[in-house]
Amino acid sequence: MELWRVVAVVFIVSVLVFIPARLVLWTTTGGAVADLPGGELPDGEITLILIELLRPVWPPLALAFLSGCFALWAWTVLWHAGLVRWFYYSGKSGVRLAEVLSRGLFGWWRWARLGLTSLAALVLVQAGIAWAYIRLEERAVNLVDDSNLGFYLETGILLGLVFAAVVWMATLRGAWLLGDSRRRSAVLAWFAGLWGTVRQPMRSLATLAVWMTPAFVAAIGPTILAWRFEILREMVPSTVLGLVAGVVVAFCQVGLFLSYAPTTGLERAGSSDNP
Amino acid sequence: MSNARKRQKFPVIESPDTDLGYTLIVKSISVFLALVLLIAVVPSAAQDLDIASYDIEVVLDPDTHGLTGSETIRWRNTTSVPTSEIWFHLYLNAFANSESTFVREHSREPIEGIRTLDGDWGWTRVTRIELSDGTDLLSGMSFERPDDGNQHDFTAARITLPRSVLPGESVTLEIDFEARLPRVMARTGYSGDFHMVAQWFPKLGVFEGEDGWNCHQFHFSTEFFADFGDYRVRMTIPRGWVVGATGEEISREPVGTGDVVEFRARGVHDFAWTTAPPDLMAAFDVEFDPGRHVPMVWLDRASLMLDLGAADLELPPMTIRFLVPQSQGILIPRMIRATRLSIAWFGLYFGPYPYAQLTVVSPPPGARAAGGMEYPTLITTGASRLDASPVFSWRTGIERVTAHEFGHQYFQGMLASNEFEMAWLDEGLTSWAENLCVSDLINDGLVPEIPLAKVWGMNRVLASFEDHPVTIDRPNWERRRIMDAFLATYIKPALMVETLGGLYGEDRLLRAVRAYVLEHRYGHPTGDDLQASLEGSLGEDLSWFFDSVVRGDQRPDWAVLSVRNHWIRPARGMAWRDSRWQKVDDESEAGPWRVEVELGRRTELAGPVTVELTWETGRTERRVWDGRDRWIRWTEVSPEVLIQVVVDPDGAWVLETRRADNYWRDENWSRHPSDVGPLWWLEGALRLVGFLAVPWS
Repeated sequence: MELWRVVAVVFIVSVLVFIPARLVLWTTTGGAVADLPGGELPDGEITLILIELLRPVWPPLALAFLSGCFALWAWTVLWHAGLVRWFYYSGKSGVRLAEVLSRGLFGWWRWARLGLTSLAALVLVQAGIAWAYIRLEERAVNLVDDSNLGFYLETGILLGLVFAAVVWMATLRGAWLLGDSRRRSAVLAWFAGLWGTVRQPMRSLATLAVWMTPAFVAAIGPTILAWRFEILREMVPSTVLGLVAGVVVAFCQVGLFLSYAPTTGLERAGSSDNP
Repeated sequence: MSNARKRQKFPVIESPDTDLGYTLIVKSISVFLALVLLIAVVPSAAQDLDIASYDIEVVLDPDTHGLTGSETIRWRNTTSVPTSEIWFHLYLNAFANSESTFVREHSREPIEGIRTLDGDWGWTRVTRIELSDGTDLLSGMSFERPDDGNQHDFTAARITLPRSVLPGESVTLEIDFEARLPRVMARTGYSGDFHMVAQWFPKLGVFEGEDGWNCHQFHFSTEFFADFGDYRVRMTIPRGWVVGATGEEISREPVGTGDVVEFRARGVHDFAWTTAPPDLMAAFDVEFDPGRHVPMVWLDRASLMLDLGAADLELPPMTIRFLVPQSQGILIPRMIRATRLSIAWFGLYFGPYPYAQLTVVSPPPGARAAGGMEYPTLITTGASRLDASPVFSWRTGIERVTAHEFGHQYFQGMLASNEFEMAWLDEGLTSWAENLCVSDLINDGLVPEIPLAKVWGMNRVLASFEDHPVTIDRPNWERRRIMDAFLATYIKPALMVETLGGLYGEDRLLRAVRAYVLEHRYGHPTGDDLQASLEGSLGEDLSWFFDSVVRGDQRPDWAVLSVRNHWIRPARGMAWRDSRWQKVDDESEAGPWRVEVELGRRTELAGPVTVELTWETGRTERRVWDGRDRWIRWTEVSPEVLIQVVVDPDGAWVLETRRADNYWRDENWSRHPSDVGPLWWLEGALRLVGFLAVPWS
């Protein structure tokens, strides 16, 4: 239960990182949006107003958004690293948030390298799939026969999703393997994670699915509900729903990460020197 | 031919109407009804539809993609001015070299889907021009560059006649020519064994009397202009290849190693054709039977909107010939449905399609640049096998392109306005009608693959990218950017017409455009004709609108400048009462409110606009501001507070793209700035993006 502190801080930071983007967004559009009447507006009205208002501020908005994404990534690396190092070196002493964060801070660069390896793998794989599809499309054009193009596209999308999941699972496993004091290379740890994923694909996938299905539902649920029920677009219900969804997502993220913690074969806290 | 050999053989697609007995009955009835109705709508001789008629023999060499042809042109001077010269187009020379006007304009701002031509030039060479008595005219031929003086452009030519053609007289020219198709671009050319043969023969310009010949060079962002005439074309193609063309197939007979196919078309102003081997393209005919293919809901709606009885909206049956890639067989039902519904929609609102046949060509992969084009009685669409994939089946591409290109049968095929100088007149009206048609197609549930269509929103968003004022009524080659041409030709004119619908009523506008189509059928109308026709039908003076929006570059922009609710306090201080100054200090009774609303117009475009006022009791009222002044102040004393003002609440001015200041709400009644309200989906998107940033950490 002490891990709730981690869940709480994961949730809070995930909200905080996008505050600059939200600020730009709402300070620019808030006044105009507040003036809009309820009920149906002319076709395309909201999009037009957004374009009109956001066009002059797109550089700061893009900067705020991208820096939010980067901050979220960096933060996730930090708490991943913190949890792994806490698990290996202090696991028996209970969760102390400050310790998790400080250990994460000191190990950040190692786990950041793992994250970058993961990103590079993802980009490489997706680019490979896109390249293969483009070549197949060119071939179809040259043969003046696009009868298989739909199959190629659907297969490409499916492969893209599968490989994204594989890369994710490899990263999760690699993050825990990187906690082993004998393993210094983040790249090798990632590949070891990949090997572990390939060896136990269903188990890895099941773990991912168990945690991420509710997380994904929570992430898109409020939007779908608000689309269906107008009352949920108002400030109070949308805020409450957003907060609940955010906590569920954070809980699932922490739960997923901890589910990949090794149960055997690795040394636990107290059995090795604290690096 | 090599590609054909490599390709996998697909079973040839049969016509969906396979019941022979039924087909025969339908065809017989169709022919009879078509004859009856066509007598009423097909152009009569009095409409001068036999001005430039062509009799062409052409041989296609599928290996070199070359054409060898001869044509007899009979041209009649229908003006009151004699002429001793004739101008004509050699459109394929637009692709003859790297410095043609077309390629120069293309290179300035390349757009997707149009390749450079290096090594794949297309051209037309005239090898003989004679009068019918054998007088040689070729030696006097010169190339003309009326638009830009580009000496490398060979798309317009002129010959001098030995004597003038007087008003009412005719002249007959005998021309031999050779041509080569480019790799498919700008809606003509070849890809593998697929040949889209368009803009392919020496073709006369339009003689306009005192103004001389209207014969522009071929530009990147303009299309064509020609007189009506009758066409008889005999093309020699490889044996067994399928063929689709303007008009109707009269005969097909084997000659040597090929087939000679004859097509005839009456009362048209261009002729295009396409051919391909049968293992690449399937060709089949289906019927348009108004009794089965006109949705009842459309008939009722059109009857209501146009104030016409069902008998006045009767449509003739007709034949639709499809040429579809074998690989897109799965899409055929959708293509047929889109075509039949388009014929029904345009027929109901703008009068029956007057020809007996329509040919629909869906270019194969690799020939997409041949797609999305209109020729008289022949259109090319633009489907992809991906449209059958669940990933993309919700896209409106098939329906949109079909409706758009069929719409051109009216605004380009029959009205035939000058697309060089006034491309907007055809494209803009067609885009407007396409939006209405697609909206009905989808929102009436006739295309279940697509749940909902909001067509005007996309047009308005595109129009908002007009970052400097663009005049609609201007030749496209005089524009600064291709994007300007796109906006001024398609988007702004469509929004302009729809704005008239918003101002005067959609039903009145539809009646007015229908009247314009019927009045100017086969008449080459101009923008002035459109204005006069709409003014006549609507009974309104539209010069303020056309001068600002069409001939000028004005855009509407209304705003709520300020709103004040003043509580009229009981007077305090000194007042002259009962012949003396008295102290007044009565705070007991609450006074009414003095409400001031200031509205403004931020551009020169002045016109009437509806304003909706909402009071605190929920009462709403609508007023119309004539918009003549740059601003106006409405003041009134009211027992209640004004809580909301909306300028143009229905979005009647769809041309207006700056809408943020059209709304005002009292702060006590408005949302808190942190209330995302209408932007709820943006917050959801942000949440999802945050979620997706995590896995790579």
